[in-house]
Amino acid sequence: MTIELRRNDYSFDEQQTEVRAMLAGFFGRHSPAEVVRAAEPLGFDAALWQNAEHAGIVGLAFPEARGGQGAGLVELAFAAEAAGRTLAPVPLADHAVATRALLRLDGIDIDVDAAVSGETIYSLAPLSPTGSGRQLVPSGALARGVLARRGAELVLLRRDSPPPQAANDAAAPVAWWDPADPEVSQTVLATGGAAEAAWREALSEWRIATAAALVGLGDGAVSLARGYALERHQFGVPIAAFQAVGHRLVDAHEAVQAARNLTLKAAWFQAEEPLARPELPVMALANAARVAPRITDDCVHVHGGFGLMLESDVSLYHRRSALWGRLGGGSRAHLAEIATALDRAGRRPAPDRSLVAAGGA
Amino acid sequence: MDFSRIELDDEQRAFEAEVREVFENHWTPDPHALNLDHDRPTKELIEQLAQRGWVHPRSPRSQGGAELDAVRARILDLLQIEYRVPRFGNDLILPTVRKYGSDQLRASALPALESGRASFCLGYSEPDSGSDMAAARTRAVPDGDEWVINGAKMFTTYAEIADYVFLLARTGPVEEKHKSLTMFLVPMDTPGIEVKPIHAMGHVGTNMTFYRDVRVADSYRLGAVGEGWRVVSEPLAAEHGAGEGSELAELNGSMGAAFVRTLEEVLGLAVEWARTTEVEPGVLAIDDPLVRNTLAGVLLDIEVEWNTPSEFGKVTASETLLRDADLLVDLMAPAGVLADGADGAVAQGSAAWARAMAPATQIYGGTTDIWRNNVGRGSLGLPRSR
Repeated sequence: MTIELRRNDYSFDEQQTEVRAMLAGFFGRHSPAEVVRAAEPLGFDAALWQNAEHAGIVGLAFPEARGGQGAGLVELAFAAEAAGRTLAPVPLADHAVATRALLRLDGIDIDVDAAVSGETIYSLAPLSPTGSGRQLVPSGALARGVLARRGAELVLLRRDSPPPQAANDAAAPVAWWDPADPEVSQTVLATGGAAEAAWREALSEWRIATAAALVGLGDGAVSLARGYALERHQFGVPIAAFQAVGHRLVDAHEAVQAARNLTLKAAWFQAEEPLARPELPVMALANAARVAPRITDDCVHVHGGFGLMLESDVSLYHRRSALWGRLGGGSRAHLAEIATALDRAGRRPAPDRSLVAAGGA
Repeated sequence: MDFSRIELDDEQRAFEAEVREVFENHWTPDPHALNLDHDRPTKELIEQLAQRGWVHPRSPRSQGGAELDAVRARILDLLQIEYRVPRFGNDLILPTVRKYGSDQLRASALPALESGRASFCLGYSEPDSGSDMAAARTRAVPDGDEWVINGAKMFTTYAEIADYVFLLARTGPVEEKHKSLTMFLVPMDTPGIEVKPIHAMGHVGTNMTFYRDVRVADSYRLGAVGEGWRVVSEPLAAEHGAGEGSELAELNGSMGAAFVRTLEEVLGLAVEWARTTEVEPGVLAIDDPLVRNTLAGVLLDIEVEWNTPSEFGKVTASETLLRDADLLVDLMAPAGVLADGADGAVAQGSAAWARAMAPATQIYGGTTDIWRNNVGRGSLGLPRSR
């Protein structure tokens, strides 16, 4: 038995650093809290979506041959994180993942230009393998096409217009898509092994993009809380000087860093070696989904009574943190899937040649 | 970002074989040894490693190292993990001894410290000063060209086998605090030093050390009189994970990585338990959804730790170890509470041992509270806290 060496390099190259800066600049400028609030309760700003398309962000990770920017899953994760940081009311992650999946299939009958531009919004139903009934679809109140797994098939559910939003406190454009609904038509895109592979890839990408959005959400919340704690003075000092406050901020900040690292590592493996660490996408989402609410709990708390008010920007984050990570199921579903990787958690193997067998040294 | 495999060439594979042979011939892995980074290898193995410059493998040969490139150093690292060889080394104090040691001290101490044949212990904490390290009261009084040291140090781990104590001493008025400290490298065989074992939970061993009229030549002083706080700041920063890692190393720093490996061991043993134990007639634990959920949660926690930056790696790794070790005791209850070797013990008693040992991991190298203060100031720009 020989050892395996891997690089463990989380650093960004120059191009990645530029892309991240571009994305942060775009959403920082065009998606301030006023824009987020104005888009409630549906959670969609058509002008921002068009703006993102013109800026090459909608098509960032679509193939150049189809009119996209040709970037990969890692860059898609960057974009989802940047959008998440400002809670941008656009279906960036869901649409990008669903469209990428559609573009990977041969001979499907969709208006590719409308998909690549975002004029027609697509999404996917992450829990569709678990049941044949209606599905709560992320960005489902904006989409006119939803990728789903039905039995052994990969299907595209379509509607002329999106179904109504299912009310929620997060101003998230979620909606029920029911295959039995007469307004929903269904096209089979693939069957058997091809369907399974295509679905697995789409679901993994969706988990990573959603985790990235949650990382951004967490980062945005920490930024608000840190700023508040440095400004707010009580007992003659900034409240950040009190360890009860400071330590919460540190823990939240570090949880964001770890979640980002895990999510980007998952993106790298999914893009480069999807068979090497197949559990990483669900791990990234499971972790992001469980830490984001705790982070916003603490960030709201740091704001004291002001954090509870609907006018507070941090409340926007807290209202969203419980929903974004749960649309693919909760921790029960995530952990059940992670458990299948337990076979690899056996004891580190003993050295190749046993000293006992060889009669000792 | 790059997590790709590195394909080893023939020479690198030959190096791997060479390292394996050394371990096969001079070391017997103990599968029951779980607290690896708190143990020391045998003198025999230390000698083998020292001869080859493998205690500080990346250092120049002129400094007792082997000038291994990053790949070979990582191969050595991974094999030490595989063969369960406790990791040790003097990197924490070597830069300080080289930079601040007198010519005499460098000549007498460096060769053995650089090869790894000699080792050190840290004389930082005292009964009355732990986190407030600069409040140390162990006093060094000048007497001709010697110093006379009196006092006591707490938690002087490895003092019973160390050749030197890296000692923080008070050499001026206590009121001047950070400005009246001086560092010394004191040979442990100097008359007047007493080592008294302290037994801690989970078979953790450390010591109290007493210094009664311990006389050392001025040549054992490290740096200027009164400059001790500045001299010790570099090893302190290194201990707090502020050093650079290589692109082949774990992200979470050496202490964080060590704690996570302990948790991985315990989890592995718990998985074996689950595969071989029924939770109810006909139902193996490994097939029970609640058991799977719990084990998967620990696996997830471990992956999160591997992705935590080194400035915080030891904090979360220690807290995760404590929390998850107890979770695993609970999972395997009641037999999970029994000690290794007890009738009916499971998972080598490792979960019960780990949760007893784990509080120590939150104290090693500075408490997690101090670490949070440091990260708050360093990474978040928060004001000094109280």
